[in-house]
Amino acid sequence: MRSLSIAATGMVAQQTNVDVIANNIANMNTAGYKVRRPEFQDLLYQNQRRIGSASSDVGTIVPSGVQIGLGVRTASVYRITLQGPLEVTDNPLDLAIQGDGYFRVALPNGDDAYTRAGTFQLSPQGTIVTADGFTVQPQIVVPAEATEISINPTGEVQVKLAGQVDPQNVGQLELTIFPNEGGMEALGNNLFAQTPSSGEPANAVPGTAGYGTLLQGYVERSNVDPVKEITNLITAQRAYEMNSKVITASDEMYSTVTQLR
Amino acid sequence: MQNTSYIALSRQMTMARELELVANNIANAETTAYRGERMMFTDFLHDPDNAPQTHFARDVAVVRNLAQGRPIETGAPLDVMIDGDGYFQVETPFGPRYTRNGKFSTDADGRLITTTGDPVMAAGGGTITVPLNQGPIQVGTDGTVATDAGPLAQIALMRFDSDFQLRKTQSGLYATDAQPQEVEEPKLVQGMVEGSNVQPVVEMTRMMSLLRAFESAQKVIDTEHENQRRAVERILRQA
Repeated sequence: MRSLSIAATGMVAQQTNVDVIANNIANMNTAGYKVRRPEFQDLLYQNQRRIGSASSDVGTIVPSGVQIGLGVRTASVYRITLQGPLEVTDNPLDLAIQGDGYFRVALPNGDDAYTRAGTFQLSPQGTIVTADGFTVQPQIVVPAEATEISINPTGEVQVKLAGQVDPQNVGQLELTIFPNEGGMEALGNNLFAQTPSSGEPANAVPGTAGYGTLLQGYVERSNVDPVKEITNLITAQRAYEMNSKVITASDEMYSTVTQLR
Repeated sequence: MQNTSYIALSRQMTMARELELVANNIANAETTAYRGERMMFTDFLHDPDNAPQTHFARDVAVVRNLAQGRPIETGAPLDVMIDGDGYFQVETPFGPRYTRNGKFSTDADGRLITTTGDPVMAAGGGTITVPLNQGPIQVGTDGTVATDAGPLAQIALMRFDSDFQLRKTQSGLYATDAQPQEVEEPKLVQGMVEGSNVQPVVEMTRMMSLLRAFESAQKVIDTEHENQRRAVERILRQA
């Protein structure tokens, strides 16, 4: 009886579903976190009676045949890249991206990584860095004597120096977009990396067509909707239970058979 | 004399197979665009000379439930739901395949692809490439993919004389030798996907009734066995 193993694939799939939901809920307050959803697909089909086989000598054919599916599998866990809500922090180095794009940061090993969590700080040298201390690219150094930092929607970083009237330009932030955003690999710590399926990164100044703009003093929160997650959790739990019921029913059928005299 | 047992057995075998269908439906209750199935039975009439007719149960075909699955709002700009008739056409290494799963994304070259990674076909042939820097993507109800710079292509929506000409392969893709026609008035909705059309409560009820019917068929076999044993005993006593 294949129903036992079919129901088992269903239970495994729902288990994955619950794991993904748990991770979403755990990251409800992570800056720039994008909600994840598993995508399920049906497994192979076995032909018991082939579609199109002749059902009589006159040539009538079986319209749909007997095909029995072998269950379900998790095809992918994709990210929903919708914009998260913005939250005011009033911290001059908190930057939210409105629209598409990622900040580019240099990892200690020299590779580039990408993030939407714009909770930046200054390093001891005055460089703009992420919460983990990785340098934001292109590198921007804020002079120690600066009294005020202002970053405009197109990413221009200006500082006001003591005793000077006009603000001074110290650098230009850039955003990066990918042909397939969903194909990026999550590295943890709010960071993503380029992969063969994400395509080549393209850098440009914020506000260019196809790129988002920056908002100073705001942080992009996670786009997790707790109500949706809890509803999904309940659905997943019920689906899991139903699959386990199928196993019980198949088992009962088996036991009826073994009681044959 | 053995017919009673064999008839009950034929019913049991078909029921075991139907349980496999039910199991697959329940396992795919959360699969995007999955369509539930049930077994169609006929009785196989055995009509030998000089003997009463006997009816055997036989499963002849799997019938797909063609009802629209429940709409699920995702808000993703590349999620497209078919409202009504039709299938998306995708190009696979094995030839054209059809699917109702409109959970699309773009690949590294910017081509519109399905979750299986196969490019989605445009009406009149060819794939659909979305440029990076022309603003957000809009999908019209007729399947026209457009950006701020104007329309790019139209997503092909195909239909067949009978949906049963399509056979299921894995990953929600359908294969067929039949010739598709374009849907005359396509109706697509952006930002939604079609959920599975399996109704779990119905499936559970079917499963329970299957189980009880299986047990009652077992009873028939048991009773028949008992009758035969008693008959043999009685004949032996007479002798």
